[in-house]
Amino acid sequence: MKEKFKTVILVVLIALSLYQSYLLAYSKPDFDPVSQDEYVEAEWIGEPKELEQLVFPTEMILHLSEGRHTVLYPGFQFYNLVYDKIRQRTFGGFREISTDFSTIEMRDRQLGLEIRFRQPVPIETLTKLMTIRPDNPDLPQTVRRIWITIEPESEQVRTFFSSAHESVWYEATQADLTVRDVQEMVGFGEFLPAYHPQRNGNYYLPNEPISAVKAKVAYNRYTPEQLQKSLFVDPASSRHLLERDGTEIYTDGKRGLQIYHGRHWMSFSDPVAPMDAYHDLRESLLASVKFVNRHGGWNGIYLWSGLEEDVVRQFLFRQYYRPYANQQALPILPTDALEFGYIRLGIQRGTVTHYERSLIELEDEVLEVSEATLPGGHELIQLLNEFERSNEIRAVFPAYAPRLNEQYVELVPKWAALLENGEEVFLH
Amino acid sequence: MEWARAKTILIITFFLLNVILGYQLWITKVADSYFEQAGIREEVQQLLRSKNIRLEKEIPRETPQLREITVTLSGDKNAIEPVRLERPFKLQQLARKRIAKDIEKQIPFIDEYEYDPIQSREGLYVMNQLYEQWPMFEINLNLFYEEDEVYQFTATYAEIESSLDEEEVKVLSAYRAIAFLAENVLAPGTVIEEVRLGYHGQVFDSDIQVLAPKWRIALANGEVYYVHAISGELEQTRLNEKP
Repeated sequence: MKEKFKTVILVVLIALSLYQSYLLAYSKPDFDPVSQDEYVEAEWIGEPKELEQLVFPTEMILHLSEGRHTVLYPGFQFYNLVYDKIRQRTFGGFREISTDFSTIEMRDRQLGLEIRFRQPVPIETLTKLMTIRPDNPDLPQTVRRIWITIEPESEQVRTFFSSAHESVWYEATQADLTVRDVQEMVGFGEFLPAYHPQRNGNYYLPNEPISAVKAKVAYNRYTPEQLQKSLFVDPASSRHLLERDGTEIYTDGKRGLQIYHGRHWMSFSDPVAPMDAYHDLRESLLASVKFVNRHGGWNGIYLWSGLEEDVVRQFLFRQYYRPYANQQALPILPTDALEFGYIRLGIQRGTVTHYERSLIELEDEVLEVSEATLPGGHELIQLLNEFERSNEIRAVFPAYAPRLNEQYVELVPKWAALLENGEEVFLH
Repeated sequence: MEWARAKTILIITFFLLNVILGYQLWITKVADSYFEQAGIREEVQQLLRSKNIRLEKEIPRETPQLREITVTLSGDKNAIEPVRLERPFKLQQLARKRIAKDIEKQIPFIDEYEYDPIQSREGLYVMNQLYEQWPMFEINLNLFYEEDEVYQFTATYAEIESSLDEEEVKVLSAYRAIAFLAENVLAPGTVIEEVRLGYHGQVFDSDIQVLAPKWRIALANGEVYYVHAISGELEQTRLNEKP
């Protein structure tokens, strides 16, 4: 009897130890790491770029003296030649010049050229674009305009840099540009269409109609899967919703990706709390460029063209297009029918919280190119007079209006204006 | 006889083995998390003291099992446009344990909502709809009052989808959430008004919304942080930006 009892106890003890071993072995915390198969590398890859590739002058104005002027737009052969030459020269010995500095004399009487940036360029970025020795601690933080001119009496080249609001001008007293260099660069303008200054030289208009190029370009569309895989750390954990108007949404309870199929547009927001200390403008810019490099890339030529400073800093990058090399590249502006031609990022202290861009990517393949003429002279002035916000105009330039077809995007050149509040609109 | 002795020895051996295994189990299951929790609590308190961060309310200790939820905003139970009350009532009546029948008649489902002091302000008494005792911070019943008398309301009402494809996970402790915030974001001298576990998500113009369990950490200066209670990710909103 006693032995039987001991047998039962032994069996129970063995069973219990087995059970406890089992519990110990399998009770380890149940980690659920993102499995390697699910974690796919983002397939939404475009061309990565450096900040310096996204900053270039929007126009160069050649002053031929005797009140003659002409304008070079980005990408144009002569623009490239002038820009390359300037980038090879060195500028230094900066000193602030007196406030009664007047540009009108320089503009109309002297040989020279003017380089204009859309956004005031941070000096650290400018030093990467050109060889500048920032040897004066009072140099402006940002530069908007560079003016190179030949003083007639002394036959000397003088170079001026303006601050963001053009309230202060600096002269680079040690520059190795020669009179010959300047004459050569300005000489490119002799046979180009003549322009005349308007509103104190705020902008220049051609005296005669100018020619431009119309293009039909093949395109492809980003797929929702591409975007979702690229923008969510763990794509498997994001849910898919449909908004009332048919907009597709992906969200993981924090990030949100909205895909507006009708408008061919996407908008991504990630309400992260900023953790780093204050970021200066350039650091924020670099962070935005890096973000786009990682998510979608730069499919073509882009220019940093907009900045809004609020709780959230917003950057706008404008797309430029040219059908072939050495042709002038024109910015693409959205129309009422098609939201296109820019990438916008919202950034809070170095962290991207908002990202929007088009779902349409222009391909390299150009289906058709044809000549187009843009009005000049009296006809253009007429256009400006009819424009109801003409007193707000800060710049006038040719731009592409996109039109979407099933097979291609048609890009039609038109005159456009930049307004005081940063808005860019077509004039006709 | 030999077999009987062998059995005795085996019984003693297995008994000892069981004791050791049992002790191990106890350590891993209970004691570890208990001592760890106590350790974290002490650590966090010290961190807060060193940065002179003050707490108005105690930090919640619970760490329930939760998951992301998908909710449907059912049209007929929502009141997007303000609804005027036929029989206005005193705000104080809401503080009672049982809400008066007459109020329930005028504002359906009011018993499913709970007062939210963080989103409320002068003239507006905000309540969050609860899902299994946890508030959904974006699903609100807004009561408008003047001189303590409630005269109109707006409401969103969510129905929770029953799909249980997502597994429930034990959430991060509030202490960890606060420690993370205090180390990385909060300035010395900050006052934390309230720490609360609930559901939060970006709200889209859609009938369906996705909400995730998050710790809401509200500061006295109006800033609100959310720490995802499963992934630990941090986000920030400002109450005055609310639509």
